[in-house]
Amino acid sequence: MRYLLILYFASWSLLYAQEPYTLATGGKTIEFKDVTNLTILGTAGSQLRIEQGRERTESDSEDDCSCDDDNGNVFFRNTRNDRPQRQDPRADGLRRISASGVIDNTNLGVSVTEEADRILIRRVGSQQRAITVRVPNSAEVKVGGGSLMHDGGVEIRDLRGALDVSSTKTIRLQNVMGPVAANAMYGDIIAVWDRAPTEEVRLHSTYANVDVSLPASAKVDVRFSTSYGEMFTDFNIQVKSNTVPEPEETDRQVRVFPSGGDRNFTFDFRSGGERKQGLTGSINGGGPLLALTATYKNIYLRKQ
Amino acid sequence: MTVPPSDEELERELNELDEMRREIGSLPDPTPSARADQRFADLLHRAGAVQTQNLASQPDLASQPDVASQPTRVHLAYARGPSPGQRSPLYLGIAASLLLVFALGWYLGGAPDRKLERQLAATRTLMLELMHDGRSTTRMQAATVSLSVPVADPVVIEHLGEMLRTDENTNVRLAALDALQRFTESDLAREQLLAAMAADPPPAVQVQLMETLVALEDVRVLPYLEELIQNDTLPQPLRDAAELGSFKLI
Repeated sequence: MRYLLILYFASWSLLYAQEPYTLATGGKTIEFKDVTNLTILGTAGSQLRIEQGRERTESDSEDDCSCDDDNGNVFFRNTRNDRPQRQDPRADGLRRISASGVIDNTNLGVSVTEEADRILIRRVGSQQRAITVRVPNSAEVKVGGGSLMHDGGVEIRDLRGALDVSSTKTIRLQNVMGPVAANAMYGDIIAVWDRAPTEEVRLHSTYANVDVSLPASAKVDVRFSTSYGEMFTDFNIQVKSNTVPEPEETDRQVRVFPSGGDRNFTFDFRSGGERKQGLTGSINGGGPLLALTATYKNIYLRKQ
Repeated sequence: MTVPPSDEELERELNELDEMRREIGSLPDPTPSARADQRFADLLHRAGAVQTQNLASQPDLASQPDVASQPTRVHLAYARGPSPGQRSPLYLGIAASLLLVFALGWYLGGAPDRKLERQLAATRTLMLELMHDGRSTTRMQAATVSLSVPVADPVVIEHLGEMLRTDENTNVRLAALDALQRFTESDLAREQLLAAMAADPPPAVQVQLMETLVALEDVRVLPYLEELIQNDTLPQPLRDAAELGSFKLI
């Protein structure tokens, strides 16, 4: 019986497993377009390596669950997406091609094209499978596109190069130490730094939350903005003024960011203070910029 | 004056007074002694030396040797008073000192303005350099450097407006919009926001722009909101946000 089980799992692996795709990056920018269910891991090597599936992280539970958050965002640990998918036997020996003519040259549902200054990785067809891409941790990485029609989001860990992400779904960041800019239209942005960021960080979610964890000793200048949400933190923030008066203005009180519910709110330069929709200040004396925007939801900034 | 001789005693007193007036009138005019005149000349000499030191920075005046070395002439000049075309050195010294004080005040008073001008010039140059960089994260720093500008500088606002309208990268546009929101008291900044709204921005930028202009109660955004509401190819949440904004402004 034991041998039968071993034989079963071995054949299952042969049927479903895909060979990784590797490519030397040569210091080029690595750009992802419309790739969903994507995990990017910074590594010490100099190669790009694409694998099917994704690594289990510390935050994953032992149970293979479908984990939707309160906003309906589908996280990576979606059973259907994480499980390797079986190839269509009729497609054996054939290559997938998209409506725009992009060809799957990796057999992983994505196309990899090397250009003069970048390596472009694009989704081909209705790529639903989770993929993990290991990149040199000093590489500049761009992630763009994505579609509401596809599940999943983007998770990026252990990167030192510049990072620029635009996604419709959830973005998870962990220990990205280079300059970071990320926007998610409908998903949360959840970012964790085990060491204080040393470069500028800009995170913007339109319809969901922005949740950031920093070491308690982190020194940053903060800019928070939300139109309808709330802001929460356990850091001590030294609040600063946020608006610039017109040159001829002599009154020390000026209107700032009036909103629907608080149209006549004023900011008093004499006392420092807070406006309804935005806050500018510094933590532990200030440092690189940490700009967080959650237009319709909340901002959370917490100590590690 | 003639007094009628009605009283002998009165007439006698009148004669005595008349005699006294004649005696006083016959006295010679007093003249200062040579010693007193020397003391006065020394006094003027010292005063002239002090003025010469004060005027040392003005060669035209300080180079007149007779100011200090010819006290008698100074004395005579003071006695006569300055002629219309020739001001005395003392008056010139006082005037020059006052001018110097005013000039110094103007210079020191204008120092903050010149410092600001230098800061603005440096920021404008740096922004221009950063905003045309090939890397998006570097272009975002153009918006970051503008956060230190303490006044609504038109050039800085126009740079931010250009980034907001034309940059290919959504995160760069969002950074520019975030920076522009500091200047929303400025009409120029609002014009830039409206121009960006008309430039068909990416959805994330469009929503943030819309919310910013609605929050500013700028009714000029209404036609754009109407356009979004009527466009059924857009995601429903965006159209809902446009409708909500429209309700607030109407």
